[in-house]
Amino acid sequence: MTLAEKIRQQITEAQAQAASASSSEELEQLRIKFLGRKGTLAELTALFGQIDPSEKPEAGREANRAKTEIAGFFDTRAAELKATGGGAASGAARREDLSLPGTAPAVGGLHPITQVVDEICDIFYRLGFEIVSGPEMETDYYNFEALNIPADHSSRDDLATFYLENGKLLRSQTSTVQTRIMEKERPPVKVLAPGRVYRPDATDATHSFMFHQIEGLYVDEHVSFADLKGVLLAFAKQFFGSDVKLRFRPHFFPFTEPSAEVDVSCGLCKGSGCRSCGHKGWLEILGAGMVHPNVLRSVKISPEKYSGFAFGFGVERIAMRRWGVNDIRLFYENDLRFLRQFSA
Amino acid sequence: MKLPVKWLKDYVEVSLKSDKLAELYTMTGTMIEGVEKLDGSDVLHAEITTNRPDCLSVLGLASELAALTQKKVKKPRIPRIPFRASNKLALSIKIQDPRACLGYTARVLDGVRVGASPAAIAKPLEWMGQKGVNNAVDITNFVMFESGQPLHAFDYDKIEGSEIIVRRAKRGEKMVGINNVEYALDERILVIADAKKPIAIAGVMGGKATEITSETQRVVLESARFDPILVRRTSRFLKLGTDSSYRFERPIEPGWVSWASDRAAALFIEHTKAFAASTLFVSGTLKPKIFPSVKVFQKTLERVMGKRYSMLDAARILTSLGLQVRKVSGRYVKVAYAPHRTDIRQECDLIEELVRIDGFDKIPTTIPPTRYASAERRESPYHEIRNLKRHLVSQGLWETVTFNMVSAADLEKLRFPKDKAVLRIKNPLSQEQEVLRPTGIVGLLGAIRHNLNRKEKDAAFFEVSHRFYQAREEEVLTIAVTGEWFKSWSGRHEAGVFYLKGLIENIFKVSGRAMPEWKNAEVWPDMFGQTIMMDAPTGFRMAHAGAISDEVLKAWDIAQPVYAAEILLEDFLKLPKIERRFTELPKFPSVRRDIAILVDKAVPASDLTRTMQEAAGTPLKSVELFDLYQGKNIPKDKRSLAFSLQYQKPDGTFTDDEITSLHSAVVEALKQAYRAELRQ
Repeated sequence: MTLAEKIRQQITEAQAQAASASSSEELEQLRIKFLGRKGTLAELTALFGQIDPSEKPEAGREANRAKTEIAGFFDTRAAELKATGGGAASGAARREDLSLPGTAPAVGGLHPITQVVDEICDIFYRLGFEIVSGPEMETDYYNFEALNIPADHSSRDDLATFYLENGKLLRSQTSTVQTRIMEKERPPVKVLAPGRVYRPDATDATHSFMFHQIEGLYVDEHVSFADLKGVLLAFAKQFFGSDVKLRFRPHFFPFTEPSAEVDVSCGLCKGSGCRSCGHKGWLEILGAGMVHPNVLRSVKISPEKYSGFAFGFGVERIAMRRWGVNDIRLFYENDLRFLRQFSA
Repeated sequence: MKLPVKWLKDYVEVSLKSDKLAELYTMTGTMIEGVEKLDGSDVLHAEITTNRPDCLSVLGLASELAALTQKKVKKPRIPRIPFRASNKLALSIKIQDPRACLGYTARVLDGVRVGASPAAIAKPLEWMGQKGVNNAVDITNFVMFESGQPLHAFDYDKIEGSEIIVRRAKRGEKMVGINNVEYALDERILVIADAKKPIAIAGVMGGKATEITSETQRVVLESARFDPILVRRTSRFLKLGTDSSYRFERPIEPGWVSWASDRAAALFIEHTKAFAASTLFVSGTLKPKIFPSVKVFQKTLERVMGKRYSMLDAARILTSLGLQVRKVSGRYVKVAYAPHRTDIRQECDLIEELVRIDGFDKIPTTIPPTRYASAERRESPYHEIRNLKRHLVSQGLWETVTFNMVSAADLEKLRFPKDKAVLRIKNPLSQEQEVLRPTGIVGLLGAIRHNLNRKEKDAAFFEVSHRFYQAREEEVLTIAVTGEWFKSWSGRHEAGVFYLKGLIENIFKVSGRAMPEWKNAEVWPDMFGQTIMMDAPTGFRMAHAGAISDEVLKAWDIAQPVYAAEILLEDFLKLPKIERRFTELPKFPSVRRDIAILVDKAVPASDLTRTMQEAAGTPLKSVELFDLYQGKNIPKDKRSLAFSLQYQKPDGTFTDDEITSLHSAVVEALKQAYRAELRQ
């Protein structure tokens, strides 16, 4: 084979190999192979000095042609690959099954009780309430006396309590935090205190001996029941929906006077009664009232100058209502199949 | 309190149907929980709050209804009770403890024919859910429900010595009640006694010895006033509560004492063919203690309720409630103390009466502004803890809420150190409430076990709660992980102590707080295998982490490793935040050199790092462990570690010689200190 023929052979080969190249890396390798300093074409042109002078013109022509043509093959193929979205790592062998699940580490979830507490805290925080907390192990003074519940008084019946061997007790309501805050701060006092409370009630689908409450307190000059209504309505609209209605029913708590139980209209029947609300049309969600002057006096705040309101929610009740949870005990079992239902 | 509507309407003339009555009561403070339809009458189930003991009777609720509907109460007319001295039967009454028994009345009735009760008595009792006993006992119960004053009937002939002594019981005395239960008595208990023995536990229950039987012909009718606190305490320690004790625990208007006795006597005469064998014996006092009048000011109403009330309207409402208005002016209303409303003692009590009758819905709705006491806002831990929780969630953990009390058995299974004091609960309802948990880990172990039993083998939990350690209440963050913390079709990672350590280190990073050093330490060695811990600046242990010991896992039926940690949040939140300060970016590139060494397993990685740092000095900017190998091809007592060292000069580039000399100094130091061998 003459040199010219060998060179022509290279052109043909380069064309074929370029056409079947499937990635730019491959093309690069081919470029080096054919056109590189130590490539096949270079090897062949190095043999010029050894051939018959009569063959030189043809060989020379072919050599020049080869350079441009082979380079052309590679450029064309590179363009083709780019057009089909190839380039590095392209080609039929590299396509992914993008229907597979993502593999970033999965997120966990906040407990549904925390979710409700945080949502309620957010609303009240925006209304100017600071979020505070208090101890769960309390003294008789903070759990009863300071809240206008004297010893041996029948109102203690409603607040069955766990007593500890060290003479203290477990708080039966978050109202204990009211006194603790007011002892440390002079009015204006505007706080929200979520926390766990304990009652020795028999456990069943709607009762647990440990549950969560959120207590609110606002004491300043000129704080009135009208303000209480306003704050609770603002909360209810944000939490339950803007078409919700509130109903205040007179009630009794030793630490507020006047006292009320507050009902919210049933979200489903809007107050007309349905199975979901036991045909009452209303659901009791919280207790509230104006802070009793005796409570203010016990923390040396003058009821002649200051007034205040207080309110308290039971969190589990609201959470169960919101999500349709039918057994309170599920909140404390922490079954992952239950917790997962509340994570995004 | 059950309220039969038919009976109620005997005392107040209203035409309202039961549902409307229920609504009216409910919206003014007497919550009607339900309406029962019985033979002859609807019965409203009323929830009577502790401040309204006057509503523990049909007449009381009738007065309330009369006030709400501007009607008058029709108290039953009591006919005169004829008494002939010739019929007189002897009875002496002595009150030995006048503080415990303020007033005592008794009367004797003769000719009593004990039998079935007439419908006028039986039907109302049926509506109250009471089983009829006999006409004598039923009359006393009827009058109790009607007026709120409990009564008791004794068989006169069984009262030894015809003497009634109201005294404290003596230790060792016993009495069998009409419920056939024997009670051991002592000086804490007030009893009604005859010359020889106690015949009733005052205010609570009568004794079997003197109960009315079908043979009874003569009855002593007791109507008295007892100290509410004493009755309540007695009821509690004897664990005996009755309709009678329930009422005596609360203030009863003294005016009912003689009224109820007269009423019952008249009913006895009417229905049991009895006749009076005595007048009414009265001992002590039936006069109520009178407290000062109370004023309610228009200004207070406006300030506290946010509404302007007319004092004339106020006077009208208060009068309809049976209160005596002493004075009305444009500024205030003055009301006399009312013995039937012992709950009205100060201005706020009158405000409540006014507002509940007038209606809460009449009060406007306003949003109050927020006034701050100072420009400095206090930092509430709530917000930071909340962010911390969300961070842990995005790290893949699930938040739990577990009980703060556990059984002593669970604590034993946890191998919690026995020498640490534990707080016990005096009145648990079940074993699960025996002690306050000294660590949150016990709750998370329970949650893990619950989930393992349901084939959930991979769990990473956290909880922010209170623990009660050494009798102190502390807020803690507890974490427990088990199984795989990462699992997907592209790979899996088993949780281990290093994963736990990393989680905790991330917590510090995310909260921007300076992390104290980890130390190896034995923390609760029975509960944990190896542990590491961190001290707070105060020197007390702030956090610890480790693997739960095999013994504990076995005791809990957990068949896989669990790693747990607990951090004291109060200490954590007191750690200083890292002060950020910008430093110039290096102008010259850093040089990376790797080192792979074979060294004794006993040498801690932190020692190696420290030695390398000391040997190279400031030019060594970081040392990062990127590989650790032990096993095949390596002696059993050694391990291979590969580090990536980053060298940096602030003012130029390194020459090859400089780097080489730095790096060999490092290698030398490792060889010298630990006989480390270089690996290629």
